[in-house]
Amino acid sequence: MTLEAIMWYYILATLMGLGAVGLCGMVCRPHMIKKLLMLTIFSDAIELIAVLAGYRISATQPPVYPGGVIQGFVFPNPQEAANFANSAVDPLPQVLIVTAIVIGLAVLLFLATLASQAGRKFGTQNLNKIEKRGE
Amino acid sequence: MKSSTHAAISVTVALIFALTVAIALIKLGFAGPWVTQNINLANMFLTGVPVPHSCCFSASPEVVTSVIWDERGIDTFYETSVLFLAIIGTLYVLAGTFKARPTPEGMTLIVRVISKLVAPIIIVVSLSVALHGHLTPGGGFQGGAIFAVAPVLLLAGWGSSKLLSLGFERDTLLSLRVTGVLLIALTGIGTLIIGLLKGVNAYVFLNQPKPQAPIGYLGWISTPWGNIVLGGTLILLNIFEFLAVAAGFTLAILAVDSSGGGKE
Repeated sequence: MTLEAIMWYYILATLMGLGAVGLCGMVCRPHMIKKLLMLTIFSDAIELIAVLAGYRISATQPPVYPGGVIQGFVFPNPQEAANFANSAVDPLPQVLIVTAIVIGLAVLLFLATLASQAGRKFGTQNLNKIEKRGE
Repeated sequence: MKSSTHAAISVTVALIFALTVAIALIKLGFAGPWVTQNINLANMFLTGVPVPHSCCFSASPEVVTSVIWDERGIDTFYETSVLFLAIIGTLYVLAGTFKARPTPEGMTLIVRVISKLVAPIIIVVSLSVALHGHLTPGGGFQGGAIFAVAPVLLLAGWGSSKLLSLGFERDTLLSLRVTGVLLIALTGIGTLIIGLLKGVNAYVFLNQPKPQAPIGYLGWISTPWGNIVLGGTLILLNIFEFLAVAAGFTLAILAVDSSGGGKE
């Protein structure tokens, strides 16, 4: 097994561990803000796994065609574009996670507002204490 | 429910999650250290987006931004709308509590001076990221998100009264936000309106002319010194998205700051 392959598995294992930590925290932690923190950790882990899925060992450049920007950009012919496609990473996971990040931020924003309002109403953001108060 | 039960459930869920990811990525051959070729769809975009007269030419070397705003522009427009609705929902939930708080105590001169010095630099960087979104990695959303860091710094150092005095009013920000989203929609249906007027075929969120739709936006300017790439709709949509996201995030940060935290 080459060093690149070992690194690939190592990064994948790290990200899966990070996602697992995020999930555990979301279920276990009673405090709303900690739940939100864990939610962001979980979604970041998922997004990084998506980026990793687009990566391949033989790729050497990002999905941006290097077209001589200083001299004025020159659009490639099909042969140059094929060479570019052989050495660039997959752009589609990156496209998808940009959407995921925006939606995640929207959800996080709304949840943070609700948590702040709950803290206002109950005087605490700890769900265990709020549950006990209702009994 | 006891906390040990919680822990057991969460560990089980986490294990299932890790196994699912591993199986999906590795067992199905979807990704792994042995993968040497991109999938066909990715190759279609990589070989098509920068090449004139190809199926999906976007007049831009940046494949990610091109796919976001050209090939799946409607999707990105609705994603912007989701963020817009989240901010509207936030303001609705916080209705009546939106007010300027006094300067927080405990911030020393060092924090204040540094935040004042760094904020303009952050704004310049965000403008660069947004305006070069069709040439380099980045784009309107990324630039807008970077921009929103500057108000956070000023908020931490100076309090929201400073931001209000700089013109970051709620109504101004909300109008900028709405304007940005509306301009994105107008850019998207612009080709459709021109196509209707000229009586030719056109698509929504059409960037460059296609074989079935002979109209499009200005992709690049040819000069004696070389091409200046504009990317057609890409540069316009990046600017409008920057406007929308920067105003939206600043508004959201102001709203969350004014509603909670601190002792009242």
